[in-house]
Amino acid sequence: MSFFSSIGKALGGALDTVTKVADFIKKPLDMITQPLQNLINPILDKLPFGIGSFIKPFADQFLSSAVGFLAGGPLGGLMSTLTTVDGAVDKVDDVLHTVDGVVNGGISNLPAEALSNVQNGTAFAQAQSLFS
Amino acid sequence: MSERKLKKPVDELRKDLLADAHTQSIAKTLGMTTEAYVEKVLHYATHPDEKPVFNLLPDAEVKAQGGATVEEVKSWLEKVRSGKIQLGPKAYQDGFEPSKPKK
Repeated sequence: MSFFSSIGKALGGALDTVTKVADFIKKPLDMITQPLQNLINPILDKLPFGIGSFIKPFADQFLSSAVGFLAGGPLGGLMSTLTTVDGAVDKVDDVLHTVDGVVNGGISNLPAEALSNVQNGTAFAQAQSLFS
Repeated sequence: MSERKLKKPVDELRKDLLADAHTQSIAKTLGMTTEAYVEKVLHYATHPDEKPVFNLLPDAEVKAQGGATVEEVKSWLEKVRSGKIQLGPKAYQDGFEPSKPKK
């Protein structure tokens, strides 16, 4: 079974039409956040209602399906947001909970490669709070 | 080599993380046991020079699947920054629409 037909099965057939086997590109954190960080930082700095008022519309726009978690732009935006909170666990939890409510089927039902991206990115973000 | 130091010994951090309600919630959202998630957090804490590496699709594949490219995300962020897209206090403040009075 191809990767995308697996996604389609997991997410109710949304991507069923695709049969091509995907070739993944491996990119480190800095390469996906760098193009977006200088755009996101000033937005987050000026939000009157907190980080939730950014991540909810961002997730609605870019993270409602599995492909968003395998795309450098949407995933870069999520990671830029997560790393901005300096590991504050309550904020990491809030961001993740908001995204979970938007993604079709929830984060835990993402295909393995997409889920791995979110698990590693979140763990890295939270780990930043453990340094003195 | 990074000079960053941990706030506490690893065993104490592990104990704190395992008992933390937010960490438990995050693990659940990610479909992991709290124990497995905490070990992943501690891995990055004990390897401060290691950053996550992500599995990504080429832009052409992303577009074919209806996803957004980096340029499209940048364009959206520019619109937010310039005020063309408003991140309003109503719809996104708490995720609920204001209730309408009953007739």
